[in-house]
Amino acid sequence: MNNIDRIIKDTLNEDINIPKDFDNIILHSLDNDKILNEHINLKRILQLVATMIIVFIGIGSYAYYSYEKINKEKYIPEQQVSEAIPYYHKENDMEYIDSLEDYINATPCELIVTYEKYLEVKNKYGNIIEMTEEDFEDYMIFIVLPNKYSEVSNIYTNDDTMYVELKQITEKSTTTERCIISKIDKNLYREKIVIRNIPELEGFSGYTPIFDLAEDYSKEDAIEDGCIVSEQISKGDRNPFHLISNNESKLEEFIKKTENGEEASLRVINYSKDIIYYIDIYFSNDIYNLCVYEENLIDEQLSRTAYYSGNMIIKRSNNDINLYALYDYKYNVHNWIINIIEFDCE
Amino acid sequence: MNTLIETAKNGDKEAFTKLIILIKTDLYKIARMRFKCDDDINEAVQETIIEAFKSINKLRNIEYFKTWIIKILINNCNKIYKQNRKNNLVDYENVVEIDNRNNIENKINDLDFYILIDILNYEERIIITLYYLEEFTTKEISKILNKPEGTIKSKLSRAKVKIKKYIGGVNNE
Repeated sequence: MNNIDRIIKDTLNEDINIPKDFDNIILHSLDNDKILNEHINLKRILQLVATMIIVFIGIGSYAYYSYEKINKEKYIPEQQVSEAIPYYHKENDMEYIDSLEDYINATPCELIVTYEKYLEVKNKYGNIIEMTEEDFEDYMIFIVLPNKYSEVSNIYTNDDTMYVELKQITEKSTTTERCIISKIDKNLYREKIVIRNIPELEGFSGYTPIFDLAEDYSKEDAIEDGCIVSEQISKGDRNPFHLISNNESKLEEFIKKTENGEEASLRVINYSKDIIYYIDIYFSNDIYNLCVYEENLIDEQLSRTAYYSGNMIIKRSNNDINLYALYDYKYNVHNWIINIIEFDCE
Repeated sequence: MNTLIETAKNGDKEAFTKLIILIKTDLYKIARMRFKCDDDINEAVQETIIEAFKSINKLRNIEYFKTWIIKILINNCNKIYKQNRKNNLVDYENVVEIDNRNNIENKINDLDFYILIDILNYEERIIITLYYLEEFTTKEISKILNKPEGTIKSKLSRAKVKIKKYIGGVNNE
């Protein structure tokens, strides 16, 4: 254990003053027989009505379906601030990003539900939606720092999650980065937030947009749609993806076009145990542009969309076709992208 | 402790209360990571005690008693926090802790429990507490908090950097 570990451990273990009220809570919580008796009575009642529940399941399912449908209707929040430029440009940008409370789907963000918090963050921006204390009775504010120039295109909810969809705007921004600050109805408040960055690659064509694919979109569907499909049989970053289908004609067409300097699109889908990687490749002006959407099947808050531009090396032999993508990501070669589209065609 | 747990599982209130007394400081500290207000802490712990007593007979492995009750407590804290937040009640995050700031001035050379609370955000505080006070592994913490282990590791590391920075800053003054 190093010095800092020891300091933290000692600090947490130090004696603190515990109020006397707390001791009373500890000693007398179970004295209140009423609460426990209520629990026992409730248990009996629940047993009696258990059979009735089955009858209500059908009704409940229908109600839930309707609720979902209503809540998934498009909700465009007020975007009174199209460009809220944080003051951090004058100082240290990392400090600003760090000051946003959450980092969801690889996107820094913060939900503000109280006026006190609003006043606290207000000074960070040159331009922010004006809100009064009364406004916070019905509204809240969501701040997001997208990795592409985007707008909030849709907000919807289910039982415990508020989904915020971000859609790229192709027109160029006047600033390098800017926050989107949205005023949102408080009825949409949920404990969990998921930010869905819509994966869109300008110019890419011939395939259904990733977010429009059916929920039960299968490997067979992907092959039929002309995708290159592979899967990772054993878990681990270093294990290669085994090719299921190289969709030969589609791949040949893509390679031929790129060799002739023509625009070309290709979708690669890699299935691993926990993540599905959708890789849209668009070749134009001698540059390979990639949009990679990682759908995390375990935790949807870890799904993310990323974009890369750079070179690609295509190697072919009798039985193998290897695509190596080389991208300079903030001055470091981004190795993982190489792994996911390197096919082992044994 | 195991004997007390077994007895409590049979519905013995006294044994259960004794168990809670053994871990009361930890329960208080964990709830304190979420709330500043003692009323909220008391409410969360009281609900936890009642809920845990009602369901302790379902606890299969008594070795996990502490993990189990801490998870109940954290869930109750989150539930109360969410209610407060929804009702616009002043919550921990929004309170500038005047007393603690005085503490900082008075104890300029030391990191103490309250300063630690002051310099970290909630997730960092709870992770640090579970890791250093309860000595859970990052894997166990990820299960308790329902977060991926990678997230726990990165937040733990970020919290350590903040504490290190604080200690360094204080010592440089």
